[in-house]
Amino acid sequence: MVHMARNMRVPPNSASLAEAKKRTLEFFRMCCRSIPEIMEIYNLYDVVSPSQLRSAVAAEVRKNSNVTDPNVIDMLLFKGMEELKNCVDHSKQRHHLVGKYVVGNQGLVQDLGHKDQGSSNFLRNFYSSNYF
Amino acid sequence: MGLGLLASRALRSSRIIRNSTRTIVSTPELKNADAAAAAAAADAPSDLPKRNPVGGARVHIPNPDDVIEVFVDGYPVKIPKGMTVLQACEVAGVDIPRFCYHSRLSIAGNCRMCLVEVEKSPKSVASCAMPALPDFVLSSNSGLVLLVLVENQLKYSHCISAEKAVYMHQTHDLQGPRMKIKTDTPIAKKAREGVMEFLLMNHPLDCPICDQGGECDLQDQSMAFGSDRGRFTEMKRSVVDKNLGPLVKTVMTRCIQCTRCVRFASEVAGVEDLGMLGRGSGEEIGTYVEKLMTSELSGNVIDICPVGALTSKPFAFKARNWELKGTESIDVTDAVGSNIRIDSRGPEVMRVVPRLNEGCPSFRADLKLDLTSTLPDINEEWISDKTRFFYDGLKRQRLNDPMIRGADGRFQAVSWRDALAIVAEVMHQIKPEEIIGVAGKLSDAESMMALKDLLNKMGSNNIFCEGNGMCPNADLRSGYIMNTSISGLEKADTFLLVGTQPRVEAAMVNARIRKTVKATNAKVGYVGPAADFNYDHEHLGTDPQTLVEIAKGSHPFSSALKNAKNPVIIVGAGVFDRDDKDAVFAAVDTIAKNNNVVRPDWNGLNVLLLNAAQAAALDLGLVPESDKCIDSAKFVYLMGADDVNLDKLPDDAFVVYQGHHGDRGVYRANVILPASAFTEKEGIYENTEGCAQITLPAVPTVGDARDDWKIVRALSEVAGVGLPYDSLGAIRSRIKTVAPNLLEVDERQPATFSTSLRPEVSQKVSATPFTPAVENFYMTDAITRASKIMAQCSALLKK
Amino acid sequence: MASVVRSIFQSIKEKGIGNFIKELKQEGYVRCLADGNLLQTKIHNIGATLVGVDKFGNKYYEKLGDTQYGRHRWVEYAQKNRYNASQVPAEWHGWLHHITDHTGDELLLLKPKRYGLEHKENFSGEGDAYIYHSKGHTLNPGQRDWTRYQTWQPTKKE
Repeated sequence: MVHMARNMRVPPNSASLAEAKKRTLEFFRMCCRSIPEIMEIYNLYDVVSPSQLRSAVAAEVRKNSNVTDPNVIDMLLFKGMEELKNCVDHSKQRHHLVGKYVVGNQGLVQDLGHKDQGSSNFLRNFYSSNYF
Repeated sequence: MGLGLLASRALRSSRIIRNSTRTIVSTPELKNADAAAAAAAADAPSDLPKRNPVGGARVHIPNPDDVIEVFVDGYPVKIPKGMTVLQACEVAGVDIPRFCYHSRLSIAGNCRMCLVEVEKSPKSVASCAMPALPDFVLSSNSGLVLLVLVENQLKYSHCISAEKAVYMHQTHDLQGPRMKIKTDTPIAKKAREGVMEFLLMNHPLDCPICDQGGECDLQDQSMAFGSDRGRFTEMKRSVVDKNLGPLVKTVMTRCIQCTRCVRFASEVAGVEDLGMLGRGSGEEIGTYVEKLMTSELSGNVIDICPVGALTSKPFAFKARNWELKGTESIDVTDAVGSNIRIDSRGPEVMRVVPRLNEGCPSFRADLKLDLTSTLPDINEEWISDKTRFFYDGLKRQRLNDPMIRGADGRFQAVSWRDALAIVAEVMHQIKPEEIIGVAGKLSDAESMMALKDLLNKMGSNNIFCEGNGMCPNADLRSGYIMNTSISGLEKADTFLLVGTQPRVEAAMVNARIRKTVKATNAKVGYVGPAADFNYDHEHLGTDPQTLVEIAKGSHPFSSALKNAKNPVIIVGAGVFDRDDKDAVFAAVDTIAKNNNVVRPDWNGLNVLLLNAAQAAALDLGLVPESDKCIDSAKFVYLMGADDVNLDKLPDDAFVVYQGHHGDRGVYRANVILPASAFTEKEGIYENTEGCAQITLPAVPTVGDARDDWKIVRALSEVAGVGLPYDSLGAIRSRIKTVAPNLLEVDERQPATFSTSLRPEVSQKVSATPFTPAVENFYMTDAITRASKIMAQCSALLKK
Repeated sequence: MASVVRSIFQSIKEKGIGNFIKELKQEGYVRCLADGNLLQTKIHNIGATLVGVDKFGNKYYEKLGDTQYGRHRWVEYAQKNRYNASQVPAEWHGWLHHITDHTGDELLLLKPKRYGLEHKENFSGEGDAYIYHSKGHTLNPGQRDWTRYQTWQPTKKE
């Protein structure tokens, strides 16, 4: 696993969208295969499960599902590889992963929203933070 | 002998020569005195660029006849008579370096750092001690005769007999030129450099581990005025450190014997604890016998110490001053509202220091100068030890999550949504008249306004502020503020203190009274329990009967009051809690009437409040509908109220505690709503003299806490009685409709009507003696009670 | 060599064969058959003077005369199966490395009582419990809490 991740390299441009798609899938698989090791080296067992991490990666990939230009996909893949390599090489620290993939973009305080129907802006802001 | 050896010999010999003539003076002009003099003379005053006075000082001349003119570096300056050369220089825009001189202390003139050259004076003079003179005539051809004439009168002569001086005066035309002060001549520079070298001789080189490092006068001035090297090769002296108590750390080896602390202790604090021992190089500051410094103002020696000899013990090695962010704010631990600067690093308050009105002339005290700053003159530049050192209480015992008391009596952390929902639900199940609200001592005006509006919308009008008593008299503003104003106390000549011990209730007001007593020998009469004063006073009695006697004129003190030009009566806020308070105030009013205390040009009738929230609460009309409302209450909203007596509260009452510290109030609470402390929010506070001031957030709130008014506002919406304001600006415009004076920030708003409009009371004063309103100076509210340093102080210093 | 054999027989006679074999195991004579390093030390020990024994049981030998200079001081570790240089305490390190001629026992007298730390060997690679984790590390059981304020504890009643 380690040598695989270490030796990964993005080959030159994808010729077509199909090739780019194939590469994307390969990349996703590579990510999935690295997840157990990432769990191990960052000691993530008590905060997240492998399937949650997997869906976090999938969400990151799906975020760019509207991109059709193979060159752009290549570029995104390259950035993804870089990120993966950083994770696998222990170039990051635990809180980087926790912050980015476990807690996610929403933050720790997640506004469920369904109870606040009809309440004012003030109250909604009040529940989320003191500073508004 | 090779060439190299020759060369090195030559070099060595030349080095020896250089050593013998080695000089540390960085002003080579001095070596050529004639050239330097010529250069100085070339400074024509006519085409000089304009200079601004130091810190925007403006000269206020009370009597136009007393104006004199001096020249500072060629600039003509008009100043009132009696100013020192240093002050004249400051008006002229020249900042003279100084260590021992402090504008609010007496002049010592022993550091010699402020030496300037005065034309025709044979030696440079210490500008802090030298008065600026109208006709400064120094007549001498030989340099042996010094003769000073002021208004044609011989004031001081030196080396010659008085007859000869008078003879000289008659025979010479001595109506000479104006005093010419020179601050940047080679002589002045050399003098400073020399003084600095002497000062640094015995000063340790421990700036890297010194807490004063970065804000040290000696550091700054040695950079600006000192030499780049010293000639000192011997051992430095060392001095044993003194133990001055839990607040002031001493490293006496760093002391430069400026005696500022000695003068502060005896002149301002009123404790003759510190003194100068020994002579020459054995000279040191100390307490002579091992003794703690027992003053409520002792922390100020930390600020006035120009070096790191006296530093803050709780702050020792905690932070460097350049890491700190200063936030100018207000102290709320007593009703004075001292102007403070909260120094914080990240989320922590690291220290509290008085707001130095920097940029204002430092010698405001002698009233010769006016300030351009509009800041009210509340605490000069001193603060009490409680204000300075309570800050560690802000980090302890904090409430950080909303909590609900479960069925088993235990608290459980919940979300804001759940906590507010429960409070709102309970609130609606209870009859409006059984709902009461209590504002705490540290509440700001905004949150009190919001709480009052909320309760009124719920149909209840039972809201009050702790400390104001159950039936406060909020009708006449002059009946609960300090009408004379704190700085106005300096004009008084007789004080009558009724049931108040200003030393523990408001240390800064006490410092003012002491200053007045020291300056004008004002008389102080005191009615109340035996108390500790640091100035001469007359203990007239312990109960209100004494007041009746004074009112009748049968008491010996009444004659003193009668003869006084500006009498001042100060009634303590502890009286608010007495049953016979109306009678006491009536007696005080009678005394005031009989002795002409309230006149168009002078209002000497004062109430000294205890807490920061009191004045604003009364301004906003936080008056309960009935004084027995606690007995029948079913729902109590405590907004930071810890000292309100809840013994009579029914057991089934639902108590909501909104506050920042787990103090006395939380133990009875059913729901806890965490709020922000005054260092974490913006809020208006009105001090005892009726001056509204504003706090600014220095650090973020802890945990899940919210600002007080926001909690009330959110609760109102959850309860379905939404308050119509969403922002601080909106709530302030609501305050404007109730008490517009609260929005006049930093400006004292005097009361319009005098208390003589009060209705007659038939109540008789009781014989119960007055009780002390503050038992422990160091622990008066939730924050100070949480503070470890304050606990230490009250254990060690309280007597 | 003959003296060695003679002393072996003597000690068998004194302790009996069972005890002798037990002692052989303890002293690592059995282990040294598989561990050439230990064997070499054991052979080296013959005829050397025992200079001192530290509190862990490491023995310090010196042999002057027919030994190559620079190899005349050595240590036989107390642990025969798992030994490394970090087991030598600070006081003996100087003697062993020819930094000083004072033996560890002499230098121990100079060790400050108030702040002198106990020697601890390096446990690298010996499992999580022995790995150093910084004060902020999640795996540090005493991970530092960076909260700058103390909360009120509701359990403390009255």
